[in-house]
Amino acid sequence: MRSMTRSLLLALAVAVTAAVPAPAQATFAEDAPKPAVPSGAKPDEKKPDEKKDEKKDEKKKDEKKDRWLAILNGDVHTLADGVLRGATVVCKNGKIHAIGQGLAAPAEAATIDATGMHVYPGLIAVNSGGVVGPEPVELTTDVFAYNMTFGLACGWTTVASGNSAGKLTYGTLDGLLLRNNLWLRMSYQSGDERRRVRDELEAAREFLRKKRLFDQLKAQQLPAEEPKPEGVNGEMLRLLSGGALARFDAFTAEDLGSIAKLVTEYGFKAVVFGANEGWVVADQLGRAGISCVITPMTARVERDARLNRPNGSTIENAALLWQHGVKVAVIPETPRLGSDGMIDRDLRTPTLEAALAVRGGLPREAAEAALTINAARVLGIDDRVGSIELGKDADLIVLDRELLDYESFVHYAVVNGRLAYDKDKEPLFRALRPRPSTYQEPKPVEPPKEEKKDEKKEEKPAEEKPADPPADAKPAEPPPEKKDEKKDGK
Amino acid sequence: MGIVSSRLPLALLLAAAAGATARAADGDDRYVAIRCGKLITGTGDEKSGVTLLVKNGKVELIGEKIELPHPCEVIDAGGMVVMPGHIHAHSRLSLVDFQRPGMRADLKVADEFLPAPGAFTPALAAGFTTLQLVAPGSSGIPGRCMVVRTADGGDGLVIDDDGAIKAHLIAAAQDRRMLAEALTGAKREIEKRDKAKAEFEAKKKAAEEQKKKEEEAKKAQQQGAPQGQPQGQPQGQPGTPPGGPAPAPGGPKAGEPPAPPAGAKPEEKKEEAFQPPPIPPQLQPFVDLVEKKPGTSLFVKLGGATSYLHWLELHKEHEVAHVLYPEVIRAQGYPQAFSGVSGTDLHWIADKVGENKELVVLAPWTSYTQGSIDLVNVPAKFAAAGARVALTPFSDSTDALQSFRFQVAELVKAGMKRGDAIAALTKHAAEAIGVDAQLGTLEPGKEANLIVLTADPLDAQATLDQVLVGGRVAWTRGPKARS
Repeated sequence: MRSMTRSLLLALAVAVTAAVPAPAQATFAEDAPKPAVPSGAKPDEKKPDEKKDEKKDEKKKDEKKDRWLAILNGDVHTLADGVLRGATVVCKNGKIHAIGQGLAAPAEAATIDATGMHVYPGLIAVNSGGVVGPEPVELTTDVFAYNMTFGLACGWTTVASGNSAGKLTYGTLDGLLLRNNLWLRMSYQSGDERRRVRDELEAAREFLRKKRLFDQLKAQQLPAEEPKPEGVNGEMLRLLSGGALARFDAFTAEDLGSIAKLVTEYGFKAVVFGANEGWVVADQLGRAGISCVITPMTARVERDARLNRPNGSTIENAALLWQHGVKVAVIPETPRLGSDGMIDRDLRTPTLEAALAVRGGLPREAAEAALTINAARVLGIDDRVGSIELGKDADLIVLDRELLDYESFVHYAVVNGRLAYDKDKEPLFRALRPRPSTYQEPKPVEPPKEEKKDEKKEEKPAEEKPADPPADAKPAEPPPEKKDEKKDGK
Repeated sequence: MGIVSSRLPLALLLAAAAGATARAADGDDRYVAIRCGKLITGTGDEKSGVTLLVKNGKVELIGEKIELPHPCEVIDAGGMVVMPGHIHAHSRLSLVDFQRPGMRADLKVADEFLPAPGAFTPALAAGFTTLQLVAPGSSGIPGRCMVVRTADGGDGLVIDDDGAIKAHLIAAAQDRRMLAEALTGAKREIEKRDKAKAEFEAKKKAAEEQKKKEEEAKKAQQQGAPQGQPQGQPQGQPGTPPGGPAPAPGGPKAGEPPAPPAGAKPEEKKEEAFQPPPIPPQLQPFVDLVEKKPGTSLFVKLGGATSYLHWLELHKEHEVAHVLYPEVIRAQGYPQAFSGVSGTDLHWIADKVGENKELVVLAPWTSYTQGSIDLVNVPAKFAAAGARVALTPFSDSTDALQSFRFQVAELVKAGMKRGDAIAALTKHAAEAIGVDAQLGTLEPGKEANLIVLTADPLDAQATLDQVLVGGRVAWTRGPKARS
């Protein structure tokens, strides 16, 4: 399989718009230019756009060459759409460009041969210290720091620091800051706090009601007085109109229940950090649509028999929350790298935490999601990272076993489409179960003429072929052969 | 770059401090000939058995057979090696170090420069003839550096009292912002001045045109009605408008210089000269920098590799003359990943530094890589990648100064090319402190600041024998001294 793809790769010299799927499983990023339309699609409608896109691309290329990276033939755990066995992920300019089985990578792409390995989205730490710098992360982060390599070696590609999310872009400042102002931190514990929060929310809601009424009247061209947001907390307005995410830190069932009530009443997006007794009020949290960040096994809190309700901590917390539809993200007990000892519960052992949740009954997929897509949801960055989907950031890790396997090692970490960590090249884990690196730097594109002959020879077995010329030739014009070929294919 | 003469009192004081050497009387040329066993010129040449002729403190001739002029002092360094004096690019010798945070580019080291007699002897005794005295502290933009000689060869101690602007780019969160603000601030000032100038010139032009018109009208009037009365008014009007509004773009400063209250003549004179709006003294050096005034540059202290990336981003926006001084972390003690002695990461940016042909000042050390005991030779990597590397002692301690040549030799042992190392001691070091026109190499026309060593400078057994500054012997090894 692999060698065939390789020969195809060389033979076809697929360049700019190279990645061509086997029709069944492959998908393309919508915003990215499409090389050849999969057989099922309507080619005619999309062609003008394609041309435009390609011309744009050509212009860009004059300034800077496209950056390609392909991870070949791994088991791709997309965390969005199941597992694709033996599939290739093609990244272009830091975004995921194509995913599918039997994809050919562009000739000038850097490649990682992941045959027999597992490809996951990079892990996301919802809290961290010492991996990227304190805020402003884009200025304080040391991108050559030892901790950054270490973090990547443990699988993290995105970490929250303070109220910002930063990426582990080893060796470059490009794309380091993912997002600022992740949450609106809210305190809802004491009576005073609760009264204040409710008052502010009420005022904000009242203002929004008036505003809506005003808008309606205005639309009907009726006389109305525009309400003024005086004395209304702007952040609460942002929260109620869906522009912000509220973050609570709460542990007991009582606190969690009242937060659930508040969120249900006012209807805003919220996450709760801690949630040790979340399992007691899991139904309420689930109905309120609250996400929880938990540490599956914390210092044990014994059941207090005096309370006439279920209480205390349990390892089943994650599983019970998940069963009630709560999005669960997992974070190690100490959100830092490198405390002492071999297996401490810190950022070096993300999968241990998830595995503990599995021990408590959480399904494997949900545990994987707890480190990736659900963690992204908790930070409100799931539009950029957290799963292997088209158009998302190319933050990927390649492991020799499945993520939650205790024997698994991260062999490659890709951040923004750049290889940021290679186990075989770093002294860190190089000596442990060594495996020679399969990473290959991008090669210069070979001349196209000879290859076209080969292309025709090999045309028969494959279902569909790209006939795009290599980048150097004429990337802008879709060659006339393309159409013919499609007809042939049909 | 002002070759000092403006600070006369200070210069006198310095001369007194250094033991006032008598100048050659006018007309009497002072010649010194040095017979060198080997001469390392610093330009890449190494010559054996040549004579170096110095005339009035400057190198006059280098050759194997030179006819010496009659009154000529001869220094016989027959079995020895002669090379340019060492240059210390980051010194605080004779100065008290203190912290000066914030943006203080208006301050100068020259203002705190009052060396005691013999203050530079430790440097002199280690072969250093030139020092760049840097602005104090380890944060912010503490001021302008100065370049001095370690001994008075007849021209005083000060070479340049208006040297590079020192800036730190270590904690990017503060430092990068401060630098960016200073540079954008300077650009703003330049824009402001250009705008004022354009306005001024437009006004001047308009006034001239008006004057012409008036004159034409006057002529017409004279032709039409040669009476005296109507003439007076139009004549007065053109005089006042240019006199009145013209200084306005000049701002408040324009009013201050000798402004006689009445009288048409001085007012007209003032109107001709454009008075730029005042620039805050803190921004003045940055204005010069942005305008690429010769002799101005930024001496940037960098932390690790990441701070160089920040510098590149800054430099993308504001392209200015600069010298980089990244911190080389010495391989010393046990390397530790998370605490204690940290490794360097500078070698990761060697390619970029070379690609940009940076002028880099480095301490002569090999370093550990992060979290390991793998040694890496950062100066060698930078030089091999194509950067211009200058080596400088890591501090002013006698130990650092005395072991300097040995440390450089260790770098050569660890893979640095000998040619790169010699250039780093001579040519590039002079470039790094902006005095390469007069110092750094031994070529005709340059100052005769040189040292005489008993063996090759990179030989651990080499001993300093004599130091000449401006062609005068400033330091000699005592008869019993071992070093």
